[in-house]
This record gives sequence, structure tokens and C-alpha cells, in this order.
Amino acid sequence: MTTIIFMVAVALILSVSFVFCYLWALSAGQFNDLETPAHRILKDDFILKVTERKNHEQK
Amino acid sequence: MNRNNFNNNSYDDDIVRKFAIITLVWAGVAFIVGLLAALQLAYWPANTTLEWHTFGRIRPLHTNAAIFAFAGNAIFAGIYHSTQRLLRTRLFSDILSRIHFWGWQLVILCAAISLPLGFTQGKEYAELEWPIDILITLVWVVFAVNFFGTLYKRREKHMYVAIWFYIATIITVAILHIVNSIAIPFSFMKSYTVWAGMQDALVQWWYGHNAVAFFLTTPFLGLMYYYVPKIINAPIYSYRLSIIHFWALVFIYIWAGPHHLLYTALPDWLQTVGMVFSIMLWAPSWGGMINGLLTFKGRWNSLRTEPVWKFLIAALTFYGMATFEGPLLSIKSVSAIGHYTDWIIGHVHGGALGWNGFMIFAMLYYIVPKLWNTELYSKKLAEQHFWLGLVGIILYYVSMLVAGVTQGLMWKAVDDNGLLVYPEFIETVVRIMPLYWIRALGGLLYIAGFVLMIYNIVKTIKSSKTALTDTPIANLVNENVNDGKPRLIEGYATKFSILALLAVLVGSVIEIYPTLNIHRYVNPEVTTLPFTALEQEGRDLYVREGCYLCHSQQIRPLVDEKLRYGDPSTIEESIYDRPYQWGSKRTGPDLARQGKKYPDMWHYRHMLDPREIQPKSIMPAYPWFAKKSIDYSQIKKKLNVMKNLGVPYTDEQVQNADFDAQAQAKLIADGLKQQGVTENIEGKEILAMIAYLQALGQKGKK
Repeated sequence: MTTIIFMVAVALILSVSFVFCYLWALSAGQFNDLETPAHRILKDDFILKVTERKNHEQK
Repeated sequence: MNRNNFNNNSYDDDIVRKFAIITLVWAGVAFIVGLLAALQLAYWPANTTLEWHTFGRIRPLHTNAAIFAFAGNAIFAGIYHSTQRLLRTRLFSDILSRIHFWGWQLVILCAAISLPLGFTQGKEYAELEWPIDILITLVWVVFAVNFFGTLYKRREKHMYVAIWFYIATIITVAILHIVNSIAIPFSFMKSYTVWAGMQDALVQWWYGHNAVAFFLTTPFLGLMYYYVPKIINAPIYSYRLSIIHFWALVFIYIWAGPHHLLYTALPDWLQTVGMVFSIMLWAPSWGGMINGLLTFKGRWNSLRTEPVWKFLIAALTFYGMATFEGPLLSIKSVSAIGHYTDWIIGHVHGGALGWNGFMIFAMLYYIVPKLWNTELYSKKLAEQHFWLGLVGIILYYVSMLVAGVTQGLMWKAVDDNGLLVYPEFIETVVRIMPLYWIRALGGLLYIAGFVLMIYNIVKTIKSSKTALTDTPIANLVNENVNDGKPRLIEGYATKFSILALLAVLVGSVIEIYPTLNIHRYVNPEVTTLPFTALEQEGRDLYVREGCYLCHSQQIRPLVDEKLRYGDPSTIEESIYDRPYQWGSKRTGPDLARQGKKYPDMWHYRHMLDPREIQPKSIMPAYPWFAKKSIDYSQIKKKLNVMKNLGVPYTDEQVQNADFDAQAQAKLIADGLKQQGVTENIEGKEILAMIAYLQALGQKGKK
């Protein structure tokens, strides 16, 4: 029985803290930009090619 | 190799090349040792009579090589390659990178030598003895400093999702390794863990399960989040989903360990918590898989022509299958059939060969040509590699699934009179032998595909015409993506790492803390006797030979187990066991109540030649037990460590440990001689082994 009370208390504390975490994340703008990070990682090769070409042209 | 020419204007590609090459070397070792283990199960003479070559010592070698050498080096290659590019900076320190590389290879070398020699802590995937454990810790710290140092000097403020998974990996593996490996040494290369019995079981599977979670899953998810978009040149399907995926996964995974201990003497509440969280884990796992697969949306046509894409899709699919099967097996009623059988072996190989293996192959096929400034030698060979590997995994998985369910149901079969249909354990083994051969064939095909890959990669590297240089660091679009926007937690490495740490600590603390006071769970009316000095010596031999890899010592409260093995195991019985030896697989029968079942002579003959007792047995013979002498010089130290850890030995027992052991050994030897043993067995290891086997299940009587 003590275990159940312990686990219920833990579950409640955890779930309430999750709700607060979520509300904080939302208001802090953590979800504002969900597009650019995914695209940005694809760019390094592209940029590299551009700089290489520039270097080439300079020569 | 002119990496100094570039210094901070280039990525350290040399270290990635090193890790990539060594990954392939250790992969070969892990696969071949795995095939050997598979053959030993299908054909027992493959154990030979060399003591360092039996299944009990080869199996840890295989698992350690596969996890820490093959997957480990691949992770480091991938993390070092992708992190530099994601953070747009060179690694923190070239020297630390190289210490990390050579240190890790030293760990693997130590493992490859010490495991066959029988130095083991007797805990799955944590077998390595204390000096190697310390070395691992040091190398891991070097890795962590190097990684977090790179984070610190990063030129891309925002951390991409792959980086989060790497952070979680580094933090959590450190915690898991240190907590599970805490042990008190009594000699160089031998120690006893501080955790005992049920506590040790819980800590071990908290570690063991999360070795899967944070060594074979989170780093690979990080790699997936980087390499899938890079290889197919498309952004990840949903960045939003990746946020949910990450936080849910790292928070929930850590709780699931107790599902390895369902129906054991572990307290019920822990079993239930483990089961519930395992089922919850299904959601984030599939979130990750779906996120990976849907990234291919609109590009599926290239799947026909690009072998690397095939590896990625298959890897993600196997991830999805393994993470569906895992929660399924964590349900108690499914576990009742699947646990201790080959189903679990099939399950882990679906994950290891399919998810980890194919992910690594895809990554290497992609980065090797880039790092060596060339093109892949042959797409066709890669294509053939894929199909050979896929057929190999399917043969492996299906044969083990069928073997597991068949044997599980045969063990359980009870007739109308309430008697076991297959009372002889060996019947259930003989039935699945053909499947062991199919498994070995599956492994062989997987290796055949791998050989094609080696050829392909070697040719690719040889085709490289240019001198090896480091890739210049790409110019930045913007130094700080968060300028003018709300500050994202993903831009703050320290805060992010602390939050990730908290996420994994919650489950760990809630599960482990209550069991620190193990006496809370022990019935005070039951006295458990500690092992005698000779029995303890025998127990150490049992651990040395890896007996626990095929024999459990944990009877579950199920009808058939009661009929076959006797009363269910209790917490009290194993309360002084260091390490616990509950086991996770029954290639042979459970031994929890083996003591006093058969006479000493039976054990003597059975250990030296199992076929003499059971003609169809697949157990290796242990002839060296009758040749090697017991090392009485260590016994006092052993009992002393045990006493300090709380085992109720009296001072006299510790003082006289060696005399007591010799006296008990003489008693057993005399008994055997009376029954006609003519060999000189005085003081030999077989006596300690017999003493221990006869003590099994005898210590926890009321």
C-alpha cells in the first residue's frame, strides 16, 4: 500500500510538472520555429560548393 | 596527412577515418565470433576442449565486441563526423580525439584478452573486470570533455536534434557504467560487486536495458537524424516530432529495465512499473521511426537505384519492428513464454543486425567516399550486400522466433493429469536444433554481405587519387540563429544537458532508491546462510565459465516451473549473491534448486563429459576442472570483502577460510574416491564446483 501511495504521488508530481514544462516551453517560444533547423543542416555542402567556386574564380 | 595546414579552418576528418576503418575491423571480429557461438550451440564439439574457447567465454566476447567495438567505434565515427559539421567547428582537441581513439582500442584489446581467459564480473554486457572498467570511465571522460568542449566552441548556436541525442548518450552511459560497475576488488582483475541479489539484478538490468537504450538506440537515432536527411538531401519529416521523440524517449526509456525481471523475485511494484513504461515506450520509438521513414516521402523512387537508401529504410523498419516487439515481450503474459528462450536472442539480433548494423553500413557507404574524396567503387556490390544481409537477418530472426516460441510452449505443456508433457529438458533442446543451424546460416549470409562491403570499401579507398585533406569548414549563414527571436533551449548546451540529465535521473532514482535498503523486502523470519568458503570458490568458477549465460537461477511462480524445478525463487535466497546469477537464458535447465538433487558423482561425471550422463546434451565438457588446482590463497581475501559488504561471516570463518575450504574439498574428494574415481582429484577445481552446485537452493530454508 505504501508503494501505491508513493507511486501515485510520484505520478501526480511528474504529470503536473510536465504540464508546467509544456506551458513554459510554449510561452517561451520553444516551438516558434519548427522549420529552419531541419533545413539548415542540409546547407553546408551547398555553401561549400559556392565558396569553392568563388575560390576557383579568384584564381 | 596534412591536417595541421588547416587547423581551425577545417574539420578533423582524420579521426573520423580512423574510427571508420577500425569499425570495419571490429565488425569482422564481432561477426565471426558470433558465428562461432552460433556453431557451438548447433554443434557442441565446436566448443573444443580448450577452456578459453567454450560458449560461456565466447558469448561475452561476441556481445562486447558487437556492442562496444563494432557499434561503439561506429558511433564515435558518426558523432565526430556529424558533430563538427552540425556545429560548424573543428573538434575541441585533436589530442583528446586521439587519446579517445587509442584508449578505446586499448579497452577492446583488454576485453578481447581478459574475457576468454575467464576474467568476468558475471553481469551481462558489463563483464569487464574493474581495471578495464576504470579505463573505460577514463576514456569516456576524455570523449565527454572533447564533445562538450566542441559544443562550447561551436559556431552554430542552435543545436540540431542529432546533438541532443549525443548529449543524452554521453551523460547517461557515464552514469549507467559507473553505478553498475561499482565493485570491491580483492585482487588484480577480480572483484565483487557492491550490489547483492535482487538489488544487483535491478541495477544490472537498469544498466543492461539502458545499454541498449543509450548505447544502441539514442546515438543511432542521432546518426539517423543527421544521415537520413543528408543522404537523401531532404529535411527531416517533422522537426516538431523530433522534439517530442527526444524528450519522451530519454525520459521513458530509463524506467523499462525491470521488464527483464518479470515473474522473478524482484518486488512486484517494480515489475509493474517496468512493464507499464515499456509499453509507453512504444509511442516515442515509433514516433522516431515514422519521422525517419516519412522523410523519404516523395522520394521513394530512388529506393530502386540507391543501395544506401535501402539500408536506411531497412534499418528504420527493423528499429520499428524491434521497438514493437520489445513492449510486446514486456507484457507479463508474453514474457512468461518468451523469457529465457531464443525469442529474445532473435529480438536483439533484429535490433543489432537490422537497426544498428544497417545504419552503420549506410553511414559508412556514405562517409567513406566523402572522406577519401572519391566515389563508391561499386553500387552493385553494395546492392548485393544489402540483399545478402537482409536475407541473413530474416533467417536469423525467424529461426530464433520459432525456436523460442516452440521451446517456450514445450516447457509450458502440461497434460490433463497435471504432469509435464516434456519432463526432460533435453527434449525441448533437440527439437530446436535444426533452427540453430538455420540461425548459423543466417549469420553466415550476413557475414558474406559484409565481406562484399569490405572489398567495396577497400577498392573505394584505393581509388582515391588525391592526398587526404581535412574538409574546410563551411561558411556560416548566420552565427546566431536566435537573434531577434525568443531564446530556444536548444541554443544553450549547459541548460539542455542538465535537463537531459534530470530526465534520465527521475526514473533511475525512483526505481533504485527504494531497493538501496534491501532489508525492507526481506522476510526477517527467514535466515539465509552464506556460502561456505569452498562453495564461494565454486561460485566464482561458475561465474568464470559463464554458466549463467545458459542456466538461470530463478524459478518463476508459474505452474510448469514449479513442476519442473520446484518452489519459486525468493528474494532471501540470493540475498548474498555477488554477482547475482539469475540469468536471462535457459539453453539448459534452471539450476536454482539443483543442490542435493543428484549425488556428487553425477556432477563429477557430468562436468567432465556431459554426454556420459545425457547423450544428447549440447553442454561443453569441462575437463580442466579435474586438472586445475583450487587457488586457496585468495579465499580469505574473498570472504573478507564479502564480510565487509555485509555477508554475515564470523571473524573465525574468514580467518579459517582456507582450512575450511580444504577440509570440505577433502570430504568431497574422499566421497568420490570411494565411489571409484581413480584420478588424482585432490584439491582440484571440480571439488569447489561440486560444492557450489550442491549448495544451490539450500541456503534460504526457514
